[in-house]
Amino acid sequence: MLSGTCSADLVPEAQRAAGVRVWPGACRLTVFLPKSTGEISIANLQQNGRLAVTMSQIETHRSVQLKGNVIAIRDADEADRAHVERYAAGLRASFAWIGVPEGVTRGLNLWPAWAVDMDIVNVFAQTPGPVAGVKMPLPAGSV
Amino acid sequence: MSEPIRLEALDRCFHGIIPGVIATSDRDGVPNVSYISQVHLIDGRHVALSCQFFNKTRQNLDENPRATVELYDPMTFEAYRLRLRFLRSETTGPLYESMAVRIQAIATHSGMAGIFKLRSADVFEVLSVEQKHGFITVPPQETEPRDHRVLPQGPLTEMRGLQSVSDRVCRAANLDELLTGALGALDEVFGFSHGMILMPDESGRKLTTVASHGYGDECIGAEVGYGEGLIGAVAEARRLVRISSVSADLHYGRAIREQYQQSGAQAAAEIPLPGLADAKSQMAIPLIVQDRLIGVLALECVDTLTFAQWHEAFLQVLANQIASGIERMADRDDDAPVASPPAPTPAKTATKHSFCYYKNDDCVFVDGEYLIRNVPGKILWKILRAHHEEHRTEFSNRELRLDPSLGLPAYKDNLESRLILLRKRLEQKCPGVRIVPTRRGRFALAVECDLELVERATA
Repeated sequence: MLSGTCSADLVPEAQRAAGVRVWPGACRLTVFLPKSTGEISIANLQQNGRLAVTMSQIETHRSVQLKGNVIAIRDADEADRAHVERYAAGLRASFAWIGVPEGVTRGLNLWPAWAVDMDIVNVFAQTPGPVAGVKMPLPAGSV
Repeated sequence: MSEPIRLEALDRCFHGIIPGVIATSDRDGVPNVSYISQVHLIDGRHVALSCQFFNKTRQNLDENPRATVELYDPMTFEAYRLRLRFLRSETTGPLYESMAVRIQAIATHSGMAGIFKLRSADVFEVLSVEQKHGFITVPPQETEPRDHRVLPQGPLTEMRGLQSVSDRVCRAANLDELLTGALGALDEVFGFSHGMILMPDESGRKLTTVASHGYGDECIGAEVGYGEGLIGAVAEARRLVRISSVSADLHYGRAIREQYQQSGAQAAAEIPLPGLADAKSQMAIPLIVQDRLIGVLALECVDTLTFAQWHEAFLQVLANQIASGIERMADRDDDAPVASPPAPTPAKTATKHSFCYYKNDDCVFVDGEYLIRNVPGKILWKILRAHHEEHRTEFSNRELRLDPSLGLPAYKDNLESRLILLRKRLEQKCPGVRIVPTRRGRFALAVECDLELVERATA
């Protein structure tokens, strides 16, 4: 899971996210960004509240990109931690599947994290191929 | 505080084993983030990214040239941030071609030749490189990729290794010794345990495996079309390709294939990867003399990161020597007046083998099983008939070259490589019939069984 942000002077930042929590109705999302490496991303979001999140299944390259606006940034709490840990376990398994041993990915530093709430504005197909970049329908009730 | 790092020190990050990430933004500051299929190190201040689809990343770069790329070391999982400025897109030239041939190899394996291809090599200036401290808590104990080299001890070990392989190539008395000697030396000196050399057939559109090492006999005679897979792509583009993440690249190709199939496009059948089923690293190097493709040297390994960047220049030197050696063998006077040992007179066994020649495609079967085709097939049929009708056992390369029915080209006919292929295929499929080199430019047909020769118009 990847996050993209941009500073006020248009310098983009790439950042691995540490999982998401989908809100009821699927119009809003909480994205977890590791505190260890997320400083620039958070600074960008405080200047320019636009956030891009790409979710990709490593084994198949099936991917989707969500874009939206940040509505709140807070410290992730213990209730969020389960999401991050579940995501971390899945990520390590996926990396193992492409040949990166779990011994290498075990040290991935995803916690503590910030919890970034965002309204989903657009969803795009992102799987490599002819439909990459095509806008997908949003659930009813989205902003 | 992150510290500056030399781009060249991040070689492992450019192998594509863990896909990199790129973030861009449009002129309004709306970000975009995605994985990158290929990041190519140009020099200490420039990288190139492959652009296969005209996507949002590409549109953003036209509006805002700033980009940030995150790369990962596959051995330690340390992350590096590259701040980039987009300079230009290249659609021709050496950089484009070297990136395109790799994409083509993936595309043809996935049945996507001509559909999935490199649109451009996007060139960026690297403004800064820094490690993302804190990305991992404790660096894993770094396990260096297995060192496959068994180089001689002492200074300039790589050069001494090269010298050792080069000596083997230069001292070879015949083409078979040259090819098998080169592959054997690459294993002994560098630990490249699986290799093959393929040479073009008379059509100039296919390559046939004439020598292999580490695969057993199954490889000999295997064919690959120009433009097909890694080896075919290297033959067509005449450019070296190194892949350190074979399975990741194939999965990427298959993902794209699925997307095209869902959109209704017709993809061709997937071509099986020749050689090791579980290869993780591959390298294919064209063998070129002047402007002619003499063959392709293909190496592979079940470990990732077997082939480093320095191997490219190094193996290219060696490939040039092999190519020159093959050329030298082809130029030799093939009826040199030296004393020849008597042709072997093998004892016949009670076994009987049936050879069938199909005229329509110059294909020979033995006991109902495919043996060989094209020019080597015609040569075999000619000498089998001469043996059967005239009881001949000795033949010369010269008489083959002078026989217009064989269709050998007048110049650079690859006759020696075709005879090697024929000899090895007979060893595999019908050991009772052997081709035995007797002296330079001459060989004997040793028949240790009864033969039945059948000629048919078509199968």
